[in-house]
Amino acid sequence: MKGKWFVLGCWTALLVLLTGAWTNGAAAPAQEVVIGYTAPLSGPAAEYGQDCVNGVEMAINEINKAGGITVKGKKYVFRLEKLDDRIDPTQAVNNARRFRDQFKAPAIFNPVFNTIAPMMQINQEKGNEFIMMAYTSTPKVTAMKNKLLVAIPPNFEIYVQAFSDLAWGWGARKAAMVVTLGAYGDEWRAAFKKYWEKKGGTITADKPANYYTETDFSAPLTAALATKPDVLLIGGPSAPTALVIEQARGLGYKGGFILIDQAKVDYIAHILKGMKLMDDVIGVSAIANVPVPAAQSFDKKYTATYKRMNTWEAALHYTAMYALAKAMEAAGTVSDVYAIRAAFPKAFPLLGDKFPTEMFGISEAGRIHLAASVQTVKDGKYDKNDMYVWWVKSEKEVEQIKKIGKTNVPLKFMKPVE
Amino acid sequence: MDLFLQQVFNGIMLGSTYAIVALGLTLVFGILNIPNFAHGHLYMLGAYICFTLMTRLEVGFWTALIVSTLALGVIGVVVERLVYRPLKDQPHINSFISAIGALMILENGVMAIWGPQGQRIPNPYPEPLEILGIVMTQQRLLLIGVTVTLILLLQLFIKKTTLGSTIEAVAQDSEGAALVGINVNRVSSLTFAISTAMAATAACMIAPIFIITPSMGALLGMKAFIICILGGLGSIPGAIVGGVILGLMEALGGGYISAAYKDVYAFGALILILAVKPTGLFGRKEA
Repeated sequence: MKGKWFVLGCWTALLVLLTGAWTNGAAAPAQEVVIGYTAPLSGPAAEYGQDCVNGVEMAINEINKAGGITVKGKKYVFRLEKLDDRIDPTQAVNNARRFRDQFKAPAIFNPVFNTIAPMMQINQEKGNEFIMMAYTSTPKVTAMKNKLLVAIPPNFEIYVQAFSDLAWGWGARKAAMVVTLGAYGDEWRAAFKKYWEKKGGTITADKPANYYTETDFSAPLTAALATKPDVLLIGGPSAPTALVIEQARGLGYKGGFILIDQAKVDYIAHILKGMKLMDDVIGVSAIANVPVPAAQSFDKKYTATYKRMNTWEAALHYTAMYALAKAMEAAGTVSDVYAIRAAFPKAFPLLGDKFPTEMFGISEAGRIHLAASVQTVKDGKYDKNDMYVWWVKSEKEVEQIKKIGKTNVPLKFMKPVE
Repeated sequence: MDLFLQQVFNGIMLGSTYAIVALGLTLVFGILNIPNFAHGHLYMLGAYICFTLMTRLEVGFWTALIVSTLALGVIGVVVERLVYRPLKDQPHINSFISAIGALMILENGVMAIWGPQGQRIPNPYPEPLEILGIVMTQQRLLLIGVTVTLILLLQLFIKKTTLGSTIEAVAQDSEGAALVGINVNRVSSLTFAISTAMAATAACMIAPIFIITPSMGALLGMKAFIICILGGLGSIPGAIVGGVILGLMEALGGGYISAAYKDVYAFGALILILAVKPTGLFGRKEA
């Protein structure tokens, strides 16, 4: 008798679950727009994937709380769907297809180039198009000539140039490299070598190491430091980069460090519990130091909501999600992806009075116009924080940007290298 | 020359950690005749216990090290009881599967409690020292000192005490040992306790230098396994020499050739040794 009731209970539960799922599915297309997110959400890069998605989620929650977006007089709210891809290209593509088939997601975020590239092979397939919201600084992504691309952070060549010029100004001439392995690290090394040697400097050692699997960098560091460099180009994910700094100092190195843009100064300081070892470091600005009015309030809001450190990843994804929402409003559609992509220029500017990172526009190839902010650490303290405008042709245009922007440090003009 | 010495020092530091983890693995192999695949994960757990003691309870480094070592000794006994002993008379494959289950529980359990991100133990002795042109931090020097002491103590224990020699007796012939009145089950527990406690000490010593993550045990466990095969499974000198050889290979190969292929050296050496001397460097021929 007891068994019978149990079986009956199970069936009822199953039925409830099924009908629940069914009503959900039916209600979705009416006024809900699903935004996809595929990234590493487990494994060594899980932390990074989480930082990124928090930004998107926070923006979506805010937009929904304010009543959603209005497209042609109709209200829409967003729903975030996230799937883990463990940086596996096949899984990422499968996830993307699922977002399209199941939820008709018009846009998908992904913060890893290794999995963005294969997704860009399928995002223009007829009937299954989606906008690729790519968080990657590699110049290769815009070279792919994808019509549905939105690349969020600045091209890292801007950083190569800005960082090298700064180190050069400090009198560094001999540089050694202990950078992470992989396509992104290889490109960075090549770009840095090219620019540094063009300036007349020398590369004394090139000893890449795997930042994703190693924790002991003494071997390549010892070899690199034996060449007595003035400056060391290092970087990969922030946590192992912190170890590289600590181990280089432990080996008696007293020179400076240039951090490739994946590694973040503030995150490293957090891991090293202070900036004692970080003298003469050049890298991407600490997010809390970005000189726009909304940066501080975002920082507070974010840390209160997620109980974790604010990062560039979170702040940029947050602003980019707003840009996407505004592009939909401007395009007058939530489903015609080509129209939404074409309306992106109308979504900008997103300024520092409301957003933690200022975005001024988007290039034809799909790169968002975002000033590159460069930080130096001197005498154990954050020192200079420079913002470079890289997408204009002349100083005069920078003046116009200064007029609309809310940044409270002077924006500097940078002529991009060819 | 300085560069060479520096790389040798780096290699010895790495190698002494490898040696001590491999030693634990080889001891257990001697008793159970199966490699404890969860060994690397128990090492990882040792590091996390040390981390929690130091950052949450704010105890000193040495207290944390001792508590973590003792705790892992107890956990080692529990693992032996639950994971291996019930399968003692079963085919070896059952123990393998059970071991893999244990390592998954450990890794995912740690991930559930402490999260997937890397954690940092504050380095108690970060100051660099310079000796004969080699620069090292005190923590690295201490690590070598502690591991060498542990290895010596273990040797003394096995060779000079009655309790210790029961381990050797069981390893050589468990039936014979049982016949002369040695409690094989107790020896088995004791061996597990020593093996995991040593791994915990190594983990606590190395944690302040590196970052601890739930996946840190997997690669180290694999390397310890390679070292045991390299030195001869079940051989104590084999584990020590194998550990140091592997450490030196990684440091010199990483410094002079390329760090990109660091793991290739370990696995390449394994294939080479097995091709030339299938029993390992110090391995005995099967009778």
